[in-house]
Amino acid sequence: MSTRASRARRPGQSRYARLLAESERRRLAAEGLADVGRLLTQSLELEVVTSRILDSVGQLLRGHSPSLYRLDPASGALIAIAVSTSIASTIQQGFAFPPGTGMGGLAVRCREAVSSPNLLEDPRVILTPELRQRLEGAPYRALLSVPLMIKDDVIGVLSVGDREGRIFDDVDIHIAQAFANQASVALHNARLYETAQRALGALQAKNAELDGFAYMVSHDLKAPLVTIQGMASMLVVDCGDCLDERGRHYLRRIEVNIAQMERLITDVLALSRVGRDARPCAMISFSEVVDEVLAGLGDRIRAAGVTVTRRDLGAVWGIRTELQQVVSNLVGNAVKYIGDTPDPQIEIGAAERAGWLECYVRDNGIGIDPAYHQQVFEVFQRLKEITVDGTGVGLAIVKKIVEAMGGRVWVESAKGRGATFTFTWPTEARPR
Amino acid sequence: VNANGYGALTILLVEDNPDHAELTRRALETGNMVNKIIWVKDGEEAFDFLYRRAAWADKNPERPGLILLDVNLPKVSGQDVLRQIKDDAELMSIPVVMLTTSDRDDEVSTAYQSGANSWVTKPVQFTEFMDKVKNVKLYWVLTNRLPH
Repeated sequence: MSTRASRARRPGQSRYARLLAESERRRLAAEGLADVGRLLTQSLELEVVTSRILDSVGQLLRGHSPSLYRLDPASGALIAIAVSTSIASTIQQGFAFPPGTGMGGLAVRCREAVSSPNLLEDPRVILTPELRQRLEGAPYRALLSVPLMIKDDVIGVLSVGDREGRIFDDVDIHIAQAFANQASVALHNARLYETAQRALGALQAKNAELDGFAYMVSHDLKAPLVTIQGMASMLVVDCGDCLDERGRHYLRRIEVNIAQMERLITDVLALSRVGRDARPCAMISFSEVVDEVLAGLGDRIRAAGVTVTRRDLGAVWGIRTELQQVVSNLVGNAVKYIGDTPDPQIEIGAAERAGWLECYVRDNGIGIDPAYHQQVFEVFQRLKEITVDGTGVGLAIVKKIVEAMGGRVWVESAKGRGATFTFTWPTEARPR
Repeated sequence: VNANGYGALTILLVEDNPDHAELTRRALETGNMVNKIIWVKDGEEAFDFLYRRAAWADKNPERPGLILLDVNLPKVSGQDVLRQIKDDAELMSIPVVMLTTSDRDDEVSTAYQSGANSWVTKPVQFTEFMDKVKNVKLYWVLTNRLPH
């Protein structure tokens, strides 16, 4: 009776012990996975994440020699990106398994976890003579390989080895697969990051090239313009008497167009120069900058009979001349498009929120149809609703300067109801 | 008559664009003060004149009191011509005014670091152009005292 009871209890106890060990292992696996997950969100360094994955998998599967490979999409080779030190003599980082070879090649073909108690004698595993020789020196014979998948694509393989004869069970495979999934995300993130960095680099180079080109062309255009204007002026002075009214009319038109072309060139130069300013950023009094701009525009403001109100604006971080340009273009525009409003008003104010100043220039002029609100910030986009001087570059310059500082600019307006241009500008030092 | 005790001063104009040379000469020749203006088209010719060699070897030209130097020149750039003048013990005391359409910050600093005496941008408006060049001439020839 007691014997039977103890007999009955023994397997029960060992089952409990096994269950306990199993649940402890799952707990460790969950912890390991959470740890890797945290690393994934914190670090873009692939090495940090992959080495943590290899450590966890090796421990939890009670195997050794874990290794991680990426599948080279062009050649189909599996390239080692992380290997444990125990197999350093067999497989080094950067080592490439030819397409389809090894246990990893099998996992790629099957698109699921595969294992073998002895990969050297497994008929499913393809080995070149060179690989066989190499693996004969490896500290493992049994191997588990799980594919790294992103959607339906295999992007790599995670492998864990052990002594000959080791059978990897469902729990082993389950754990390995969970870590392989983490590894896929890490690999995928790294690849996305690299692609994004490369695209960003190319874009920056292209932008710089474009600015350089605009700068060069504008300068080269200026030299002949100096000549055309100079010769036209000398024609008036030296031969003006020989010209009749029609001849003088043609000359006037030439001069008006030269002036317009000069404005265009000056503005394109200013646009291409944004961000090239070598002067360092500093804290500047925004109120002071606005007052200077208002003084500069004094004649135009008086001529248009506009009342300007400047609120207290505080201090901001930036390059003085750039902020001046932004304010000058916005206030200049407000004056230009004030129309025949009975009591023309322009108000400049700001509100600070979390390291940024939100500055507005508000007028009660002719306003802008909401259909054109995006368009006004594009270069050479002038709304030809009324005849005013301008090149259509002013607001593009504003946008470029503001965005170079990390800010935004937008307009709120309705036709005939004035316009409010708002831009954000940093009040604290920040990288440009 | 002026700070330098003589009426006329030789001005060396280094300018590859013949139209700009014509406009600049016109501005320099306006007014009562008559100066001898030597126009050369590039840096090489400028040094031929300054060192009295090649076409100028047997012409015994006088030393210029002022050099107006364009920046965008063929062969030797204006910046290099400037550097060479300012590196030469014989020539370095001649005032050099950079006269150009460019107003690039880096180019302006480079010129001053090489010892340029002034940087003047050519404006598109001709009256402004005339005024600027005239002012340059009046300042360097009348107001300023040059070394002998």
